Amino acid sequence: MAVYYVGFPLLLMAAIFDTTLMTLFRFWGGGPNLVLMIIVSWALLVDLRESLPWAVMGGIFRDLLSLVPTGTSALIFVLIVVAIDWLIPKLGWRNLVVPPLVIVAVTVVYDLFVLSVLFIAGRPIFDILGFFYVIVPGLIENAAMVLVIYRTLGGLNAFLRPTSRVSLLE
Amino acid sequence: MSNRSPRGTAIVMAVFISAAIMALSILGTIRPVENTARTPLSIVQNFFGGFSQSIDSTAAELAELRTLRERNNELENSLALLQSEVAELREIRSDYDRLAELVNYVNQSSADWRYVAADVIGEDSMPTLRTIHLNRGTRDGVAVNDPVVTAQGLVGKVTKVSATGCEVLLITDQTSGVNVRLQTTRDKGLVEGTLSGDLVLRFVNTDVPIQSGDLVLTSGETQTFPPNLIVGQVSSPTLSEDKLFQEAPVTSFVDFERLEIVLVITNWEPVDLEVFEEQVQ
Repeated sequence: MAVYYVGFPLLLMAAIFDTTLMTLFRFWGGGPNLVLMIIVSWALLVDLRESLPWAVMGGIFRDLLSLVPTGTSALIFVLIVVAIDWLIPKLGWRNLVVPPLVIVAVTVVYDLFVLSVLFIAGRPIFDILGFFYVIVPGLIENAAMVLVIYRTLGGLNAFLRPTSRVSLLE
Repeated sequence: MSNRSPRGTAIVMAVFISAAIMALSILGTIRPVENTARTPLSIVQNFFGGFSQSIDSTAAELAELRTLRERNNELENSLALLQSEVAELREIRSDYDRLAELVNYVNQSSADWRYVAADVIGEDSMPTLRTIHLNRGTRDGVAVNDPVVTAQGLVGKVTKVSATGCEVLLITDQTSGVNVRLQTTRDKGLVEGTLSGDLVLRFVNTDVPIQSGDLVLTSGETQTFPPNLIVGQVSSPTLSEDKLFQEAPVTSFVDFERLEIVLVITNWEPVDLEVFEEQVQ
């Protein structure tokens, strides 16, 4: 149960950092997405039933601090976590490249989903140049930072459950 | 099989909960709950917002240290010129007040506005959405649609408010539109935000002589913002794609990337225009 209790403050702080400290790293129209990196890293480390509550919590916290309708990020995070749980074991990948590769794909999916919801809610959609302007900076920064998050959460997971340590890096 | 069922249930539950919250949020049903949940978040955000602002401003100050001395000299010269202009304008203002009193002309001027100073404590978690979070809410008299300004000009308007904080849609956001007037010619137009966070003046008639450097002020039309707030300065007008109007980039005097303190106008009351729309229908 400790993983659920740890997830709440961790994701809450991550959502707040996304709107404060992480804005210092923004360039063009994009920036790092700390909550997404945590959700993805956690999904790579633990079982689906433990990563799903984090996906819902993280999504709600993130949307509460945004113009995006609450629940939008939660829904796409849940789908991302399910996809990771289904796909990664099938591919059998276990190395350092996995978290950056996954985060690149997932950042595109996440941004496109949220932008689609915003489009339905009445915001203008942008062209291919807008896509590069908004999504590319975010995915580069996420790919650069995700290993730090992944290793940190790996350590946290090992600390919470010393007997069932699971890592892509072993 | 015994493992699959709880996993499937967990997935269905998580999708259902998320989709239900999303639908209720779009419909506005859970707005009071969202506002209540934002209250403690804005308190924590206040702390970290101040911290990140100080990092950002320290870095910026260090980078700008070289040019500051030259800029200071320029500003001192400008100040001397402006002081004489202000004295002249004060005379004109007092004439205006006397004449307005004579004809019983009632107009809410900037002198009557009540301002609440607020710290910027965060930005939208989606970088494409140009909103900022402030540490003032309903407890301080802030309400939805209140205009937000700085000494340099218009910043945006309040879109969401909780007890201790609020969210402000910046005029640089793609969905923002500000009815404006060119200060010199008094011609009207619309200033819109762009994806890159720049401002563009649109829908100005082709026969209007737009001069680079002209000031753009809010016109007060549609009552979204009070009139005569500085929006920015136009430069290099061009014809729009359909060649029906002119458009020009607008440079705001507000540095939207480094906003730290803003002022919320809490007592501006727009004229209710909805009644006329209902009559037309």
